[in-house]
Amino acid sequence: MKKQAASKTEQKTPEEFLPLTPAVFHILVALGDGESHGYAIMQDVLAKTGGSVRLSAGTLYGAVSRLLEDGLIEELEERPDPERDDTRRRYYRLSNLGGRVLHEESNRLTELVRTARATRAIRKLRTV
Amino acid sequence: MTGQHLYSALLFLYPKPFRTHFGPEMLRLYQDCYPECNGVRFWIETVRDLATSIPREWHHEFCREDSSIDYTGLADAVMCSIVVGTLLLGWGMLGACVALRMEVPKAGVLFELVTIATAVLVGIIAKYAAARSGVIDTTCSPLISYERTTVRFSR
Repeated sequence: MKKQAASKTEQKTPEEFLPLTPAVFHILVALGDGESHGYAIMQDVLAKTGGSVRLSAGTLYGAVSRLLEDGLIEELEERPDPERDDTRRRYYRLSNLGGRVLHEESNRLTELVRTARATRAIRKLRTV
Repeated sequence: MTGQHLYSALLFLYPKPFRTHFGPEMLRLYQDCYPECNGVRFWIETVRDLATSIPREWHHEFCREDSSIDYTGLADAVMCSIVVGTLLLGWGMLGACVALRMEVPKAGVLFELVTIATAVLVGIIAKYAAARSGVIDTTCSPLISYERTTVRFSR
């Protein structure tokens, strides 16, 4: 999986990954603050979206699998201390490429929001 | 069977590479999430999730360049299912007709179908018996690449 990730990373630029799916974007945002495991990512997404987005296990790990293959996230080699945490947990962190993709996607979304806010329909609502 | 055993069994529906890599963590996630949720709601969400994510992962596995899918085994399984299904339907229909003392509809076609299915089943069993005893060295299904089967005659 790591070899595949490396080869894909060489080929693709951050712009080529855009637009991201909502699940992938939320996972990257959750990992933006540091390394985390699956359950913590799920809880983080739930908290940051005010409970409106709940990632299910299949969606979460399907997206994580794709992100690992594309080299946007990395799996940490070391496993948690058995006395402190379950050893079945795998920890993930954002790669450099993942960080740049998140940055590009945030810029794209900001631009979209700016364009949407400039429309007559939204300006009309603001003045009311 | 507890919910955890059932969930663990359902994870077997995912492709093997995915299951091997993420299965233990998904099971751990189940243990984390289940106490928070209402039982019925949790299972409805889980079934919905499995119904979408399993086909997606299989599609992804089929499209991967380094796919580890055993196409030979898959072809054999499909072939066996068709043969056994035909036999069950054929014999079932014959049995029902005999039991109800009815005339067998299209008896000729039914007889041919059952005969062909039986012959294929005998062929499959013979292939596996021969492979097991070492008479033939095959890693391929007789359907998909018969020419790759090497016959070793013992002296």
